[in-house]
Amino acid sequence: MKRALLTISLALGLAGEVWAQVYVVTTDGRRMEGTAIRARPDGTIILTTATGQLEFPRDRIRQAVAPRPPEFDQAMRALQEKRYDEGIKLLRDVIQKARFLTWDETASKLIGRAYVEKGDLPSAIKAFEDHLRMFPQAEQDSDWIWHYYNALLQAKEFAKLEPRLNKLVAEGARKDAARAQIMRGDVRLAANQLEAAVLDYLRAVMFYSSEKDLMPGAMLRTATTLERMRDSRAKDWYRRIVEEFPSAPEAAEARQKI
Amino acid sequence: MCARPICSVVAGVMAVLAVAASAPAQQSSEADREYAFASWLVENGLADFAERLVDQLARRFPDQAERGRVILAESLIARRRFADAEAIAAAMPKDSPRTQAVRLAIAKGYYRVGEIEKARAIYDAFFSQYKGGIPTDPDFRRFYMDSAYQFAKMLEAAGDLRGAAAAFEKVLQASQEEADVARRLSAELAQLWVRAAESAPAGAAREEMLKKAKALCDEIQWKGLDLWFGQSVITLAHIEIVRGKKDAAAKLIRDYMDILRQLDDILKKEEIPMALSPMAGARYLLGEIYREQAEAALAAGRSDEGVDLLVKALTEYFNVFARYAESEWAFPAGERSNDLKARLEAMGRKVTINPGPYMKNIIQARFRLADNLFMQRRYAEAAAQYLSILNQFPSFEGVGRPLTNLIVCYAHEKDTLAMRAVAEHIVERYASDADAPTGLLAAAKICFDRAEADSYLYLYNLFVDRYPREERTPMVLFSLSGIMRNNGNEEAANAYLQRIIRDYPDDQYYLRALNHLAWSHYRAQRFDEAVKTFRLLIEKTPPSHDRALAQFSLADAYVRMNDFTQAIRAFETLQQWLGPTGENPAYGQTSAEIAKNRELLRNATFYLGYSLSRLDVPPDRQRAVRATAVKMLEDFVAKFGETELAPKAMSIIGSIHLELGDSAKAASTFDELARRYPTSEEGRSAHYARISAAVELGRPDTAREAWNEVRREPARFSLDQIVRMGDLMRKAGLLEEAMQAYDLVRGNDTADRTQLEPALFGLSSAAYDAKKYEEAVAALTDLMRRYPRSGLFYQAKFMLGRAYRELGRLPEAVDALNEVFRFATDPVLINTANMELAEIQIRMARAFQQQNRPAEQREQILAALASYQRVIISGNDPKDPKVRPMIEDALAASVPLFLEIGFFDRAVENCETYLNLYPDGSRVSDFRRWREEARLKAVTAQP
Repeated sequence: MKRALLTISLALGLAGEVWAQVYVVTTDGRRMEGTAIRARPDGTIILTTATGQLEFPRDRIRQAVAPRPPEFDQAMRALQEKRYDEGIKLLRDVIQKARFLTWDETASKLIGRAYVEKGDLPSAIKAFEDHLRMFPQAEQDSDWIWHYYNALLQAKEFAKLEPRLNKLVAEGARKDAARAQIMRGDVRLAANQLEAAVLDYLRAVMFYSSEKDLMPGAMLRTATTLERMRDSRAKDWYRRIVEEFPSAPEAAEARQKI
Repeated sequence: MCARPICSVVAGVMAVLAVAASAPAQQSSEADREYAFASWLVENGLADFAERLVDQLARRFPDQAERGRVILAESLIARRRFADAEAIAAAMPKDSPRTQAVRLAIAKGYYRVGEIEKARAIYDAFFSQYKGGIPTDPDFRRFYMDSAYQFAKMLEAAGDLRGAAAAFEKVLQASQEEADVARRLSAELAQLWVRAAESAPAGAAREEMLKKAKALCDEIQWKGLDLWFGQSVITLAHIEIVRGKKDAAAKLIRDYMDILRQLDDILKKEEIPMALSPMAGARYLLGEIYREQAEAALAAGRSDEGVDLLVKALTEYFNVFARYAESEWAFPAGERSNDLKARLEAMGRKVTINPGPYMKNIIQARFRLADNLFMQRRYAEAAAQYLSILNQFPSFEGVGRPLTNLIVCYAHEKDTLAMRAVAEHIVERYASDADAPTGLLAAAKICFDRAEADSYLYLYNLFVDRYPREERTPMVLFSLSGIMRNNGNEEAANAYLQRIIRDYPDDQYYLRALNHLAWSHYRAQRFDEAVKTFRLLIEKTPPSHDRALAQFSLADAYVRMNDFTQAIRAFETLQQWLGPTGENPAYGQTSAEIAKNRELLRNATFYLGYSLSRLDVPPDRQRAVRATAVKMLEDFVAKFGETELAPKAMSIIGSIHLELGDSAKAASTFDELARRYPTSEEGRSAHYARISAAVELGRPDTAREAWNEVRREPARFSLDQIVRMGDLMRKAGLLEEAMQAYDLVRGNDTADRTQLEPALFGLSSAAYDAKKYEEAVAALTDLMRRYPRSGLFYQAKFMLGRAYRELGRLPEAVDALNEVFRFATDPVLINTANMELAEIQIRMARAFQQQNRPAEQREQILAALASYQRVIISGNDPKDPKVRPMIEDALAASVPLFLEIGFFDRAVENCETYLNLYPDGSRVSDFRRWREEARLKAVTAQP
């Protein structure tokens, strides 16, 4: 997580010049630069240009971008130094200050993850759900939504998690479906339903073998769960990991078991 | 010949060799995906998971349950449960492609375990459907072709070359549209015909096979120049050799040697298996030619030439054996090599063979020969081969398998000593080989199937002792436990289980061992041990039906221990786990498990009610706790009224009502029980309970009614039950009914002593109480006659005395009491007899009085007084509560008699004794009055 936060921070830092820009993109695709920008509470955007101020109702805006608030960088530094409360507060300030101006979304995305790092799962889940309420399109953000699912898994909020996973398994893109299959196995494992968990992991191995980066994890889970069931075939699966993915981190663990 | 056409051999070969790794068909539905997954599970060694999944799928997709049958069959085949797989196939539509696929899968399974004939029978039946032609549907034609090919290979390995060739013809017939495949098949078939011909005697049949082979070769050669062309050259040369035309064969090979070499090089370069190279056959045949030429030269006395030719032959053979070890020419080449080496050495030549990098090939090729013999069940020959090779090559990678086969050969040959020798050699010399231990198990299985206990126990124990870390050791320990248990040696059985529990806590047999051990304790009524073991089992078992069953067993053990508090807790836990309907998926995945869980839940409900009915509670809580039990059991009866436990539940409810003093409710419950479940054990006992309740309520008519139902169908009740009912009714004063009950028992030929004795005595008691003294005497006489040493002897004699007394048969009454005096030592019995005797003597006195026989009258009165005085005087402790009342009665009876016969002083004396002993007695006033009367009479009687 720390690495992930740092990565975002660096990426944002490198694109620093970009984020000093002030502009609006309308729904018909036109981009208008300005010198200053603000938003009203109802979402109306007011862009100051050389020729004066322009107002855009919310439903005519595709994107409104303000300069990066200094609080955002402060927040990132605080989080990297594990001053989570301070960092989260700063992110919330950014949301308030830059509402409707892109930075609110950027900051909101990070709050849930910050709480997870802190170890406060209930707050993390609430933050993730707040973000989804404010930005429903985040549901389709494959990179981000899995942080939410992981938090639900860790917090054992299975009633919320399972329907989402079932939907992904049935309809999601291949990678998401594979991850969902594996995570559903984790849910069942946490509920001590060992056989059901093994079957989910095996489905991932069978149907999503092309998702190579996920296979060692699925196989390792299969092996460890079979081991928990005292099933002697666990060893066969440890061997498979070592044979098929010898350089994967899971192979090191598997080697100990052979 | 140009190389260019030969290069196309690579493409052709690759096309033919390429595994048709077709992408899995797009699964269009969830059912498709799940059934494909189930099939994949079987292929990946998880057949048991597949079976359970198929069960779930059958419930989720009931219209597609048929698909599950195929997978179930595959799973059963994978687990070698062929009979079960055949049962599934038999239940499927006969002509369905799925059914045929299942049947052929069974055939393959049979083949894998060496049951060649069974496999053949299935294939023959399959192909007999297509005698007129081959399937036209492309998919099914492919299936037919694959099946025919597998059948051919199976027959070839089993040594039935003609059969294999016939099967190959089917394959060829079906593959005509695929040119490359057809060419390869033609080449293989041609070789097969020649090999079949080789082993056939010279004659028309052999020639026919050779002609077929030639025709195939001609067609191959006519259609192109490729690898199969090369193979056909070898086959044609082989035909010539079989016909004895070595020169023609040699010429053919020499003429085409360049092409054959080019093909060989291409295969090497492209890393295509060398088994396909025609050079293997060419060199072998050259070896044959050289060998025969050598024999001819030696026979003609040209020994140097002969030796040179033998060396040439050996060179060819050995190169085939070493370089083309995977080829079918390797075995015969290997054998020939050995023969020639021995031959040359016998001729004084030193033969040095340097295998170079081909050592592994050589070893494997030699073993393959032995393996072939093994597959054909020629065990003695196979054992000799294995032994010879192992002596030459005692250690190499893969030595475990031939060791295994060797011990199995000896097991089959029933050579116990050799088998044990090999077993011990394996465990000593090859302790670290991973495959070798399999031999012990395989041999043990063979001995087990023949019920040779000494042998299989020896092998299994050797295995578990010497391979404690082997994966299968817990399984073998478990099997040994079962064997011991079946032999009645529970202790030894449990010792094996203890080993699993102690040493293999992570193994799959750990839980099974715990389960079996717990049940062993339970059966032996070591319930505390059973409880401990069940607890551990439950702790270690994840949520599943097995866990639920263990929990029920734990609760049941507590019931047996009468620890109802713990039993209730355990049953309630089970109820929480299974949920209100018993369908919690965490505890039951398959329909069978769900059904069993429902049954567990039902039984738990019953036993919970039962436990509440037996729970020891303080009196102030008793009614409430029992009421809970009643409610629970009533609900049980309402829901599960058709089960065996329902009448038991009702019986318990009735008993609870009786316990609580609710006789009306008890009677009503028992009535209902008898009405609803007349044939159940409880329903039958219900009559007793009804009678009891009716008596208690003071309702003799109800009791009689219940009795009359019994009387109408006495065969439904046991004699013990009838005796008990008789006793109950007798005590309640229903004497006629009691006598009927006892009479039923007396009149039953099957009644034994335990029933007759109480019945006869009961009958006499009831008859006496009913003043039917003759009948009482008859019953008592019968009792004494049958059982003179009866435990009821004294009671019977007393009653007999009384009955005779009432009948006026006083001498016989006295005789009966004299029997008591004869044998009794207990003071109570003696005193009772004296009292009874006195009664009789008084009656006799009264009788004499009526007959106006004063002397006899006085005599009897004196005798009665003596009897009474014996009670009063002879060593009885008046403070003893058992005799005190008798002394009082004796005094009360004596004084009037003393007064009657004028023994006034004695009368006064007795009165004063009474007043002394019983100052607060109920008869004090009588004794005072008598004393005064006696004193007065004593004074007035003085002269």
